[in-house]
Amino acid sequence: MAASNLTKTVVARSGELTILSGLDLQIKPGESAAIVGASGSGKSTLLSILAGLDQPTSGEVVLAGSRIDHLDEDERAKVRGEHVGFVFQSFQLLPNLTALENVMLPLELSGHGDALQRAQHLLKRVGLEQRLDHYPKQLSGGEQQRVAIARAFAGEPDILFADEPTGNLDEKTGETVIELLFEVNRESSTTLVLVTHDLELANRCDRVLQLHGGAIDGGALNSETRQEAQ
Amino acid sequence: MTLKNLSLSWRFMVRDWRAGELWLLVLSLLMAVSVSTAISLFSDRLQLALGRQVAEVLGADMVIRSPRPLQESVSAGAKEQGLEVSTILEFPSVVLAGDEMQLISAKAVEDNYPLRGYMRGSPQPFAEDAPLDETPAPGEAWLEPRLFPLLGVKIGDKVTLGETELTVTKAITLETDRGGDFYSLSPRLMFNMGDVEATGVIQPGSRVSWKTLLAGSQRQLERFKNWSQGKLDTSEKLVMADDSRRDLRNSVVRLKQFLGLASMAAILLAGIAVAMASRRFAERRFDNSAIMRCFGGSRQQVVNLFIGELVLVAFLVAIPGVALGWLMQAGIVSLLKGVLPAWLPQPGLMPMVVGGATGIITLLGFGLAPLLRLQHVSPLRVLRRELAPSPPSAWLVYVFSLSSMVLLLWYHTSQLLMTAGVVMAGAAVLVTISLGVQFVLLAVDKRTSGKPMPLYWRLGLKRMIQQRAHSSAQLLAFSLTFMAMAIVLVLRTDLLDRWQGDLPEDTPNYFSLNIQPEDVGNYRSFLDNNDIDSSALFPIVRGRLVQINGVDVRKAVSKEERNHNSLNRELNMTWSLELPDTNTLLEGEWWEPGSEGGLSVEEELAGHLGIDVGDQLTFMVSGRKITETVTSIRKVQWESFQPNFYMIFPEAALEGLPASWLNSFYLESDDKVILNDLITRFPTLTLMDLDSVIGQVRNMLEQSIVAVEAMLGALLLAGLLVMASVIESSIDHRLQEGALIRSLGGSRRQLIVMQAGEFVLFGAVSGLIAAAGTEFCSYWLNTRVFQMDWEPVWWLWLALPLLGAVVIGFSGWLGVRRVVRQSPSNILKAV
Repeated sequence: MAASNLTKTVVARSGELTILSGLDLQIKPGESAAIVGASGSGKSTLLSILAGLDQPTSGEVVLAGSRIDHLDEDERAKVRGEHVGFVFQSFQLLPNLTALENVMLPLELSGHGDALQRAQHLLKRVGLEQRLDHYPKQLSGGEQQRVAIARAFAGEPDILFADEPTGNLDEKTGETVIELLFEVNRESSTTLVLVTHDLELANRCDRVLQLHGGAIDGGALNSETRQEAQ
Repeated sequence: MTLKNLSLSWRFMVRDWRAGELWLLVLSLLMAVSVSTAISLFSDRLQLALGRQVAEVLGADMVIRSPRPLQESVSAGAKEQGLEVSTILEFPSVVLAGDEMQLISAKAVEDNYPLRGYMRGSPQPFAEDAPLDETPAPGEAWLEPRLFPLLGVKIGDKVTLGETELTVTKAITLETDRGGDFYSLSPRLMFNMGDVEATGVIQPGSRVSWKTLLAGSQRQLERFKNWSQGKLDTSEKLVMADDSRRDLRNSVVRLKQFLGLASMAAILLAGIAVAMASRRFAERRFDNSAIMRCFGGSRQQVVNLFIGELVLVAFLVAIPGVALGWLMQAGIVSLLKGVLPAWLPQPGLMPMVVGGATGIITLLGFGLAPLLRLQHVSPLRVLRRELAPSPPSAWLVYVFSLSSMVLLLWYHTSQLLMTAGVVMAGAAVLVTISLGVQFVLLAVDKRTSGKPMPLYWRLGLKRMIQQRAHSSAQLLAFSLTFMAMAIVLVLRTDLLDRWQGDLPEDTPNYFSLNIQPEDVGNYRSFLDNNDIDSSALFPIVRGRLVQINGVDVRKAVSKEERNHNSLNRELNMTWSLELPDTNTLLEGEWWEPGSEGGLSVEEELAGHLGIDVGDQLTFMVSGRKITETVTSIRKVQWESFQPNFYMIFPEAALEGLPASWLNSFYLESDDKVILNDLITRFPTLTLMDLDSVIGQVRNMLEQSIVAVEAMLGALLLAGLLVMASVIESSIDHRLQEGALIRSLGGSRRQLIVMQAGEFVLFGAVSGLIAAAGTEFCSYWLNTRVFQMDWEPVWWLWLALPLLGAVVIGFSGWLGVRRVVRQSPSNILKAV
């Protein structure tokens, strides 16, 4: 996955606002990368552009071997469906579907044949085989995020994007969820891109990308900038 | 949409149902379908029944009148098409019994007479009568009671009719089909069709009238009507039950219009409920579709998925909805047993199809538009929740919903132009109101920003302002609901008043005919002395219209009207100084006292014959030609049971012509002994008893009133459901906000005041809007559709806002009680 000369500007009340300016980045298949930065540094915007949820104002984005910056929404959706998985800070499970059905959702959308079995298998993998028919509101935060992880891996994505996956969880639960995320990631040798405030979490990744003023500061993080960020 | 998509939609529907997401949609749809089915079925059956009741007055659904027996080919055709056929023959004649001789109106009938309606009679004259289910056997004669004393006969005696003798076996008191032309009525003698030949009265040129009675289903009748066109010769006139009796026709037409209107109101309410529910359905699917898009669902796929779900829901609910509607209708009918006609015709399939289709069309019409918005849900919503899809192109939504509305209403009212006009005008008004509300909210926001205000006012106001579109939609939904209910209520009241006004308690129930000129003074003082409430006395001069502006009348009128009834018989003409009470002058002027000439013509007849003020009409009266210039056109209230005339002259114009006099009066049943006195004092006078006819009309009106009230009940129920669904559709937001306020330490009371207060305000404002709308619509309907007078209904302006505040406030409180009861964290989780 690669991005070059990525720029994103939005029109705000006070005039044009530049969120990303001339950003370059490359992440190799199977690599795990953490994007860190202060609030408002454009982490989420970068994630949404890399994942094809949003379009850059200019620049190129290559995802799983194909350029996606010039694709329209439906074409990008197709790319997402085939190559991308997501884990969100607020879980984003559908309240009207059970845990099992939430995991089945991406498989059903792509017309996958044995959605049920695969979803059951994944939920077992995340330790929720007893919770298949529970609705999200009947699950704890940690359980919900485990369902979300199962869902993210359901479509056998090449790249997994995680947006503050522990942001809504207490430290201990967050820890288990992260452990699980990395485990499943390793097993399926998926590329992992995660956005976080949590430097400890960031340090578990192969690379840490510091976002500052709309661009990446250096390739990896040295101890000095780590302290700065703290 | 592929089968695979549909099966996915199916799975989603099942899941949503299980998760409790669909109940509001299903409930409002179920209501829409069942209420509109019930109303369609009920009004269909009632209209059929009323049609039959009108038919009773004709003795059949359809009658062909002819001076000779109906052509064999036509009556054979009628039988072949499955119609019941019965022939009757009527002619004036003279009956003899010993030395006594009496002018009578003879009627020969077949065994299956009458096809509709019934006869009443008694084994002895003036004894208590009962319905009869037989007809005179060959050789028998049934006589009207007053003929017995006039002829001096009793049961078992023989009378002579023409060349044959008949035995008197019964007294006949009522034939439901005898209404009609009171003025030339002589007492009835009824006998068997088989004896007609033996009487020898049917000679070439004799004045007889044949009637072929026909009965069958509406479809058979229509088919026969079309088939017979061109086969009937000019002397054979076909009459449908619908246009036979003027005194009933107006009431029936108004009732039908009212039923149509009530259906319209019910469908409108159903539409609102479904619209609100499907909007909520769509809004709750924003997150779903954002996630699906994230995971690779295309716009089309996601939208198709939910549209598929909606369509499935529509069809699945339509079926039980129709069944429920049928049950509701059956329930109404069984509740009203004894008030409704003893038997109601079974409804056809059509109302059920329409009821089901109503639901489906309403759901798709109102539900698709908000679902199409899902296309514009950005997948970014998963990261930034506040991203709501841009509002749909307003035109699309309105055009879609409005055209589905017009389509539905068109079916129910079968008046495309009127319906489209009403809906479009209504929509324009609504859009204006909606924009007005938004404008006012913004203005209030500007005026109040930064000024101190109680917390709950501020919060409520802020929410309304922020969700201007939603607030005004809600307000409109409430207003429309109140309006629909109020219009039907107001019209019901007007209609009932009008009907009661048509037939007040003291409606004349007797007509005195053939009062001789020399008896007029004595007759008048007889009535005065007995304190009898009576109409004015009118002279009757009988004459035939022969020329219009000097041209032979058959050449002067249009081709279609050449056989108009008025040209084939002598008209009853009168003279009068004053315009009769129940008449209204439409054109021209009434004459000054002492006028020598002038002529006032009844409106409908003038229309048929193409007569205008200023035309010269020539009449032949007892061999004399009378020519007068038309000076005015009058509207006549035919339902009044007062003497009514097509032609009225000033006295001088008819001076010296042979006349007899007529009047009508009201007699309570206790006072009927006076009648013996009357008949003895004035032996030439003919007395017509209208009690049974009036009873029939009254009966029908009472049934109509019950029907109208049942409709109103169904409508109120529908209205309440709408309120519930509108409130429910806004509850998500309120629950969230309420939970937040609770978690910030807001007290129970503060919360209730805040939430319910908003609803109270909403209710009051929508009541006010509804009052204005109701006044406007009832003015339009009263004057344009129902042809009644309009008066503003002042109490509405107070009652509706008050009612709105109470009802909406209370229902709102019921809804938000949950906010107070549950733990705030639960609610935040659930939304």
